[in-house]
Amino acid sequence: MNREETITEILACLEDIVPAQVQVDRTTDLMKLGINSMTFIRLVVALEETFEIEIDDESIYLDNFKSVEHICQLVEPYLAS
Amino acid sequence: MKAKQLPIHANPGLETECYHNFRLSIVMADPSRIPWCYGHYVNLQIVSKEKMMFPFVRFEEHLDVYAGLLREEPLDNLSVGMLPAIRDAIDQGHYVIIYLNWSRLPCSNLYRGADLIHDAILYGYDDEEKQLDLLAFEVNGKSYGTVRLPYATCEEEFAHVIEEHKHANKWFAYYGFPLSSIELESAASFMLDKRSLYFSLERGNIQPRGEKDDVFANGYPVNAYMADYFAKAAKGQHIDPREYGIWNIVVTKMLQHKRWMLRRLAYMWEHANGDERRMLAKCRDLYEQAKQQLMRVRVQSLLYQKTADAKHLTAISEHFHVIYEKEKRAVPLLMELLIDIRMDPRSSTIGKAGDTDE
Repeated sequence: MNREETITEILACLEDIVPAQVQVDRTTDLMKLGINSMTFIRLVVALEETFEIEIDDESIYLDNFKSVEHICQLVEPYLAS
Repeated sequence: MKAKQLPIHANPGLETECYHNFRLSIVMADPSRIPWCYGHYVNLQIVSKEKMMFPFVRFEEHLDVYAGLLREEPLDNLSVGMLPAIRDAIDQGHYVIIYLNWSRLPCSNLYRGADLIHDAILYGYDDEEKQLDLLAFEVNGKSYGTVRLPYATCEEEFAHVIEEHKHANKWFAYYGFPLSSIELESAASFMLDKRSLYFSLERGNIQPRGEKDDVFANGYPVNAYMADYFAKAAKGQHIDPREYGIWNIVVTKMLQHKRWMLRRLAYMWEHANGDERRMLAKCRDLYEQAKQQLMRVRVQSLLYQKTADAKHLTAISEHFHVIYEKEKRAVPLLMELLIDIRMDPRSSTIGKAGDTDE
């Protein structure tokens, strides 16, 4: 899976979580869209299902999920391994 | 000649917590009361005290959870005789808690062992057969089940408890010792209490605190503590074989907790709309995975207890870490669902009046 495909999948995961009318791109600040310490777990679960990975406990903190770009950086090493 | 039996649930599924299971047998005897049960028994917790070697896990809620639901009072009309008082209570639709020494009763799995003063629930009597119907622990080869005791045996054994064990067991008075009635409160609500469920989930994120002999953890972080405990044990911290019994009970209790969570989610799913079902299905998958891991913990525990090979302790630690990871995800998902229901109550049917099935 190349980077563009990864980003497309991440955006699909976000569709379920951010408000429907909001446009999200790779640099959008997700914290401002309501992703917080509670709701980002939903995103974690969606990413794990989509990419068939298990994100390490140490990586599950909000900073890693503040934009699509950050999420992509988090997910890519799992996809490579 | 008269006989009467009150309805009773054969086994609600929390038999490692006897005082809860007895009361749930009463509450769940009527399926319309089951939704209340799924608002409770959410968190496991560890409260290890000095010299308690194996971490003891229990459900967070204690008997005060039944306030407003069950009225429990000492049976105080014993002047008419113990049996007439019991029959009178059952005639009024009241269950009776009785404490007996189960080491003296042949029907008990613990017969002729050390003294064991333990409660049971009386739910029926039969004047023709001169027998009482009880729900008890460790009887007739089962961990929890019904048994009949002759009137004379019951009278004799109750008198023995009063004569020999009353003083030492008075601390169980609020558990029902030695003889108490239980009745359902007439004004009790048996709906699923989503508020109670939400706040239980919110409380259930207390990471392990304290030293080895004085630790506290609540909710899913209990699994993190267990992972750490077994990792240390694998590196040489001794587990006394005398603790194996408690160890196996703790694992069974944790399995019962996962099964209870799955039953709760199945109940909610049954009454949920499409969006809610998607979220609930994710929670269910996570708890199902946690349950599978716990079943592996059980196998590895028994293997270690047979072989003393530390590799099994390492495996147990890893399984507990996975369980922690699964529940860490499932809990906020369920909390978010409950928030969505709260924010848009009209679109949800979960926990509305009229839910009756299990």
